[in-house]
Amino acid sequence: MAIKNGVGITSLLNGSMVKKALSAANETVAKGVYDATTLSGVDADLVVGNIKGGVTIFGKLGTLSITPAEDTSGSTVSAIQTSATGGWKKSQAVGAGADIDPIATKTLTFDANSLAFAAGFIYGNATEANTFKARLYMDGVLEAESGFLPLTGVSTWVIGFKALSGAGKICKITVHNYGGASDIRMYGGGATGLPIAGGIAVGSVKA
Amino acid sequence: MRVTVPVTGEMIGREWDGSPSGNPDDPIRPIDIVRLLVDSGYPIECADFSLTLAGINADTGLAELEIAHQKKLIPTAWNAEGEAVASRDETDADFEKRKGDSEEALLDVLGRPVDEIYQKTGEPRLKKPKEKK
Repeated sequence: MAIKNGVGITSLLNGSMVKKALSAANETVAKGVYDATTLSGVDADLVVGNIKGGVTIFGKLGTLSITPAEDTSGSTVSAIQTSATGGWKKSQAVGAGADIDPIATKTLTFDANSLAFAAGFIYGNATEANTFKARLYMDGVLEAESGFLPLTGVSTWVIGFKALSGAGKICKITVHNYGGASDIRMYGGGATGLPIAGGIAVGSVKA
Repeated sequence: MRVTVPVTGEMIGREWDGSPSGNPDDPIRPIDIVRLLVDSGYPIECADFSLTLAGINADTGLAELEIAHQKKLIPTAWNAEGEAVASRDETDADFEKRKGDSEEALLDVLGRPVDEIYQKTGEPRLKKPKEKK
């Protein structure tokens, strides 16, 4: 029973208090009166399986453990082949501002929350200084570019990381010519008609 | 060194982490830094560096790049066909001088207003899809 002005009353006055309710839609707890309840009764997502392991929220000790696992992977060697005139190399003319696209490419399907890694390489050299650079594209984004290829044959690598998900995701290594029309030399395995030493490897992990 | 550069190309969507996906026929890429340096009067040697995409903000059209310089290989012998068959590393002194000049050039050209950079390279701003709100 409530007391008002020394007189006992058995009911609340109209308009003095309005019963409120918690909502799972937001964290606001407005001033007011609430029916007894549990927070997990208000928001069914408040369970130990949704809370990170070792973390306690409102008395619930979390058990959620996220262990990365291998998703998909794949690799491709270049489709460019050594030529008869060059023996164990491929000498290719590239126009000013043009590309060899691709040196190698790999298309894969990734899990919904996958983090992919790609590494592309080419063994070769420019015939003029400050012309060619190797590029790595992942899903239509330039992730990495090398310095200018030297005049002496070396392995040039480009590597990158990107979140990828779904089908048809393309990872590729290309070569871009920043100079005037010029030749690039790419080397292979000691005979004609073999792939040049170029390729791409892609791996990924998922949560 | 890290630099912030405008990007060009076409964005066609976003990945699960919010990063953009690009059109393979018009990929998302930094503006042509090599051309920007050369057209700004710097020698092309200043453009001899590798870059790695450290992050990209599709909303602002800006990317963060990790720039790295490597020692050059200087040819020292050639075969009958004029191909370099032996080389030596660039000296430490030459490398540090070249690296310093390149970094100074990059800070100059990339420190200009974004509008001026796009105008100088002639490349369009990043094309983006209409996203649902």
